[in-house]
Amino acid sequence: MRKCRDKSKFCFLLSIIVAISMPVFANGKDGIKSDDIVALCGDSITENKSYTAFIETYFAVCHEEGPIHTAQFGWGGDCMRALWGRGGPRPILSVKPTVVTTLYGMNDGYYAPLTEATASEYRNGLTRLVGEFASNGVRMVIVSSPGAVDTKWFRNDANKATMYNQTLAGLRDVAKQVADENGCVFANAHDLMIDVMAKAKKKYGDKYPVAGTDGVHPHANGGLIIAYVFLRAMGCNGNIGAITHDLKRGISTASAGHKILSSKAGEVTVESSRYPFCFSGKPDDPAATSGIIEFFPFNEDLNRLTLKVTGAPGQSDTRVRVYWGNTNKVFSSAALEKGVNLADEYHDNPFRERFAHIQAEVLKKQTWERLFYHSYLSGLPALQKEILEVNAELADKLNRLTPALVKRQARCASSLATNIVPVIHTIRLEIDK
Amino acid sequence: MGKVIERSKGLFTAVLLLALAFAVTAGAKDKVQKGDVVAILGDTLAIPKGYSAMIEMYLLVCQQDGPIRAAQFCQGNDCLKYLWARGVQPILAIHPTVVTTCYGMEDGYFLPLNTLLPSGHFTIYSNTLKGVIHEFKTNGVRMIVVGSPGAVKTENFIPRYQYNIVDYNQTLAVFRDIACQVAREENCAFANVHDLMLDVMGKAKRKYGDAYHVSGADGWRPAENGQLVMAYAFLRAMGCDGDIGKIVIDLAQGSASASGGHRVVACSGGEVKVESSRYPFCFYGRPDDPAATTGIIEFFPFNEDLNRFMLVVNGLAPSESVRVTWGATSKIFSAAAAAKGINLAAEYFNNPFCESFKKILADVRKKQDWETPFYIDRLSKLPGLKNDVKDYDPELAESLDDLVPALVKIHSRMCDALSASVVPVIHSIKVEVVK
Repeated sequence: MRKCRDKSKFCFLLSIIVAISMPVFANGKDGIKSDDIVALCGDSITENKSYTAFIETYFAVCHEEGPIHTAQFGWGGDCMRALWGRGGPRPILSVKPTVVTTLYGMNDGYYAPLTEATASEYRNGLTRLVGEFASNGVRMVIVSSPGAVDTKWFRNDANKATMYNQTLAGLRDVAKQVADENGCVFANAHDLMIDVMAKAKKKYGDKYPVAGTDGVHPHANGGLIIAYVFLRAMGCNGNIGAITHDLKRGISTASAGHKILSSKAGEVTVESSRYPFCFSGKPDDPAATSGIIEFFPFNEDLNRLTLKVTGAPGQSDTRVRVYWGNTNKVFSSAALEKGVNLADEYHDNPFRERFAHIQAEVLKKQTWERLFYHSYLSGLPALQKEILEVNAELADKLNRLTPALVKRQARCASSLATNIVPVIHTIRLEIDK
Repeated sequence: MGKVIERSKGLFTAVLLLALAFAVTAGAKDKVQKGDVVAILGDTLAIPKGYSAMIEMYLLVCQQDGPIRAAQFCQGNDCLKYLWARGVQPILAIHPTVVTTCYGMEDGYFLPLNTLLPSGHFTIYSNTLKGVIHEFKTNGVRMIVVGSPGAVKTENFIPRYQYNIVDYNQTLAVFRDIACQVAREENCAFANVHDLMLDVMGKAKRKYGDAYHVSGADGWRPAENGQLVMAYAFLRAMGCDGDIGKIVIDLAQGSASASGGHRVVACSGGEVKVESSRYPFCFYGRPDDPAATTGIIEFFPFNEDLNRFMLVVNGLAPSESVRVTWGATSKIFSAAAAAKGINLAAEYFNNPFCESFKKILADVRKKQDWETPFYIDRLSKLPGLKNDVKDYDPELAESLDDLVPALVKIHSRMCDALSASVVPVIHSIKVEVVK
């Protein structure tokens, strides 16, 4: 009996110790807040600024709490061994992130079949990384699995691609385990990439790369998949806005982020400070985003700018032609009554130009952040150590470099916001005879 | 009359300016000399510290006016356009007197000639090369060696951007011609890396088989073998004469003498002990391994032109032969060959200098590894860094100017330490008459 009680006590203590030692992070349901600072960390796939620019642009113009201060911390060739080899995430922590996303694994697998040693190195490094974030004020960590390699283009050898995707699947499981054990949010970039890749290749042909023409680094199409996975994991609800129009009475309403400037029967002019996420390019071009979205629910989950129209004359099959920007499309009045997702239906829309402009600004900012992360912040400790040998006073002054650079990064982020101007656009509706 | 005088004055001034312009940079006849500081500029091909380390090593331990200070200023994925955009100011921080350039491999974006021709890339290459040369000339650089790009091997050359395998060498040949023309126009030395690489590649593949690569396993970034070819082209263009030293043994008289950085310490019974402060260039590895330098040198005159460490044995009867033992290796030579001179550097790959050479080469590579962030992350990025912090900490921004002298001082210390690490090697040569 005594033994049993001791055992219970021990179990209770153990559970407390485990609970205490486990970092307490917010989960994805808490979502991203307006005062969050989001650090997007990873290897060359992150450094390529494809998915990171999508995420930051989404936060800038689509997110209800946006613009959200974001920074990109990608490092080509990075893996747990390399990250810890250069001293861990100290440079990343200098921006005091509250939310961190990690996308590692592609290089952690060493492009070979998975071994226990490889998995263990990845697991230990990732666990340590998450712990470091926990003890430095990060409230939410999204741990992603690695992505996938292209089944056609990786080493130009389908067998090698199969082999390495098995390795990456193994590392996906490790990432999930680390996320689960440490209270992080898990994002499964691997499975979605594999799934979308198969569907897209079926439509566009085997040569259509989803994980890039080198088989590893996705172009914009694959970048959008990764961005989707992270945005979902971060709890983004996809509610861009809703516009209603009563065709009979000419009255319109708009939800938060949108303002009705004028409304008459069949025409509504709106000023929108929140943009739908816009797509570009020729669908069969991997550098385009327009061709990939049909294979995963980006628009359903993250990009709903809904137009609801009531008061159309006649039956539910009355055809209504909706003009938005340079495009017009015909919908049944029933469909319009239910709601049409303008972001999904109108790729060429009045937001496109401004969206492209913001995205270009984001890319410019993230290009500078590569310098900020690689050359400035990461190189600083070694530089200081060397300078100390020849000029101690200067070495001491270099302590002021990080705060000054962090201010500069913050200004980059805030000046992005100044570029975001509301878009005025008109939706016209006609009964299609 | 006044007009004529004015015109004459103008002409005189123009001629004077022209003469000055040619004088600041000597042509191909100039050579690297004592006190020079050599800056080695290039693209990805120099990133593994192959040819750049070999050049520095040569100038450090082999060159008669050595040790000559050198530093590499190479950046991965670089091309002249990018170099021009960064400016040469970071390179001038070490006050070079000699500059070598090797660009072109990445200036052509791995595109076939017909795609690249209408794009204006060749004009950009030519203009930026001229611009870079002028910048160096006006900033105290005495000698500029313009290198052509190397060569690719199309069979294992992995093309980028999904283009089919093309003969990128056609594109590189155009860059070679431009580099040659600009060098001639600007009175610079020219190093034809491209042609030599292709020539050596053909010969080496005939001996070792097609799997033996000279332009690297990926077809464009050479391993040690191809890097030695590049180093040779530059060292020759820098005017290095290859005279490492001479040891003369007179068997009849039982005497020996040495010249040029070598001193006879003892001589008795056909054995001479020498203290050498100049080293022959040493080779390493299995000949058929592209990561080795031993297998490639037979295809170009590295030892004849750059690495003559001669042993002359006098006092032999014409019918006699000699067994020469140097280090762990013995070889037999006829009296005639011995009297004419045996190039120890070419005949004895495994020699008493190998160990020291290997150690110093590793130190050179370590220093050049340091020079990569020195150039790329520190000197080149300093103007941007200053600009980035000036609004937030103006005093700190001003202080960052002190970084250049501090970094140059660190670099200078490294160079000094490297020179100090070159200690004389004491070695014995045993000569026995073979009946």
